[in-house]
Amino acid sequence: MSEARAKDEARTRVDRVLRVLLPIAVLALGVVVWELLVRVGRIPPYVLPGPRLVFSTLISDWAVLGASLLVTLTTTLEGFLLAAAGGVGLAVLFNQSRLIEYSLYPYAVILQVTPIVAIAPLLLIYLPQQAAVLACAWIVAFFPVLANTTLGLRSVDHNLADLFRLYGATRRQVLWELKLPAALPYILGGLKIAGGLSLIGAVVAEIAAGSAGAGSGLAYRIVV
Amino acid sequence: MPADPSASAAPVVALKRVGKTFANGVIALERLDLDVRPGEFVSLLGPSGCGKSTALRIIAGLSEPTNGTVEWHEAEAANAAAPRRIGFVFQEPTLMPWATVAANVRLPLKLAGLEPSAQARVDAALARVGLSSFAQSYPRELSGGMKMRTSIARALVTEPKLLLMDEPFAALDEITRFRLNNDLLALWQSLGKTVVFVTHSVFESVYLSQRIVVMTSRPGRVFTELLIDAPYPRDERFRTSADYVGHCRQVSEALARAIGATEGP
Repeated sequence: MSEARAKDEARTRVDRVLRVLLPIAVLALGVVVWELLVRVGRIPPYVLPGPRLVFSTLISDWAVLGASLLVTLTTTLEGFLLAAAGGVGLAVLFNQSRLIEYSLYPYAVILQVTPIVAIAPLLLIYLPQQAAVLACAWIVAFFPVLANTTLGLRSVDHNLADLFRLYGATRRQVLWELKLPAALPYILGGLKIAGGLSLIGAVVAEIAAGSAGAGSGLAYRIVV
Repeated sequence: MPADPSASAAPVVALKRVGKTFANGVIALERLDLDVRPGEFVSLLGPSGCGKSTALRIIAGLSEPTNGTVEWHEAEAANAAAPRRIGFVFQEPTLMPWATVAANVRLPLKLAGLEPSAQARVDAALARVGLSSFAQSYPRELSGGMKMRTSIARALVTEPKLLLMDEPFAALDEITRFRLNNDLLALWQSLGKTVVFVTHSVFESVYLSQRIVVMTSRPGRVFTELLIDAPYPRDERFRTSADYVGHCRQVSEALARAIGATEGP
């Protein structure tokens, strides 16, 4: 029996090492193929720079690029936090009042399906540049949080809801003790999607801002 | 000790000509009359879809009757403003997966704002169902039988006079079900609760009950009532006795007639 267990343990250890090593190997292979393509095909750097040139530029221009990266990441994080607060907040509001849900939910959907590239230039006109970029990140990121939280708040076990009713729970108690804990896995799922989308929103807005001749984020640097 | 179910004591709760029609037009109950007498163990027995769960939900106040009335004994009616002193056990354990066993059992006290005195009562309720050492476990760490015990502890923690149970052991394996049947009878005898037990098992209803109400389906109505006069405590000897088998046959025949009465012309 102990032999079988030792075998099992050895297998999981190998598995853990492979999980780290294999992606690194694929990365190395990719870089080598990239370098070879550039060298063998004699591709000029303005079409496709080789990995060595990219790396050295990254170091020599770090002062500018690093600062821009920080700006973009800060915007992404802020957009994400606002999306989390806004998405969960709106979903709770919708859950508490059907009238508010009926009034606003369609517009939340419309906001979601409107391409962000179309809204970004307008926002840049109406708002200060930094606020506009943040607004774009928020618009793209908040909907998955809203949709998932709404679904989670509705997915409460009927019997548990009955139990709360039986013991005369208040609306507040039902929300805090039952609905929000039950919705938590859904909320986290929404946040996971929102993180990536917030970055996309920020980058798209920066590109729009960059082509309008203003900006300081990473995407703007790349455009210019 | 269990009261004599044939005693003419005023019922704890009485359903008078209760009817329930769902929004989709299905008639779940029609002119259902049912008296629940203090201290008795009564089972509602019938095929699935006969409205026995609906009747239980109406007693619990989770569902409103379409017509007829639910009458509570004066002593109960006096404090009707407070949540009625009812314990309810669902078919599933219905535990909050994010909360420990102790927190699940504490829930009814928490909702009633009785936190300060809760700990002792939670401990007592867990001890009654033999789960004291699992207070800090989470529901996913428990077996099906232990989850159901937790659910029963939660129903007992408010010390209700009336315990409503909706096919609580239907999803359990036979060995666990027999054990929980015995434990439930022991609890009932020591605590002196009134129990209304919904089941579709003839054998379970005969083993547990003093009185069995056999229901017809669609619409749900009382078909007949049978008294099981075997003395308590009942144990495995009773489960294998000729007396038990005789009662089971009698109840099975009544159930068959109830089903026949519905399906007939």
